Amino acid sequence: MSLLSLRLGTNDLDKARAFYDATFGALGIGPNTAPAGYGIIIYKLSGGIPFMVGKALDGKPATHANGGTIGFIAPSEEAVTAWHAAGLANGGSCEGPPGPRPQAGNKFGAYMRDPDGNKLCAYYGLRIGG
Amino acid sequence: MFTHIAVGSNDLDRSKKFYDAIFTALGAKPGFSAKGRIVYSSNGINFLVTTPIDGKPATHGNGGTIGFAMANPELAKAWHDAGAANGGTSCEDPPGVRELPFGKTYLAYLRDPDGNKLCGMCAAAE
Repeated sequence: MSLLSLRLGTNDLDKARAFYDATFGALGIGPNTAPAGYGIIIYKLSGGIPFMVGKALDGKPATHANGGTIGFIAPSEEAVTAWHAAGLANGGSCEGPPGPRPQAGNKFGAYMRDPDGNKLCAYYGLRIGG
Repeated sequence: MFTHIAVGSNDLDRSKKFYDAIFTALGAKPGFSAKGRIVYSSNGINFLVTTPIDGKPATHGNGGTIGFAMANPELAKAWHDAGAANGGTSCEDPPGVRELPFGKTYLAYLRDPDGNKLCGMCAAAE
């Protein structure tokens, strides 16, 4: 299969923009590309895959999942640490500080939640599956 | 890009039936189970289905969607129908063509057995 897009929910788009501008910047990914007032923010990841964050379309509060995680590839261990620090400085919360992660063959990774509780991680050098 | 995308499950057997059906409909291999997780790897994307590590029930997000690129509307429909026949639920409008700002688009939406929202999308013929 091929991934087309990813969308996460937010209840505060400004907070989400500050968080994702900062954390994607640490991974070398450009800032939000959606026009002002667009209602969602869009980041073009490598390969052109859009990562979008916006309100829930049913009008109910956006909620994060339990059991769900989105993992990003970082270009270095330093980028993992910078990603994590940028998130904590912009409304994120720690779910696992940067360092070798025993659950991932001691690859260097870090975990955090965005301001809406969506769980994220970044790894350098991790390969899963094929 | 992504190391992986994980969604939560409260019943891995039920999830494997569903995800095996929708991913094999797209030509990917069935998932393999390891350490309480099911892993699907295709085209550099690793998609994981897992029980939550905090021991609490798995829940889906509201406002979140994972989109998959489809080669053509027939595959998108087959993907959708495979999911609906294997514990998933069709959601949003039924599969079909929508007029979007960037052109006619074929869209199909599913929720997996745990409520995680998925979308299949491709350009529609004029």
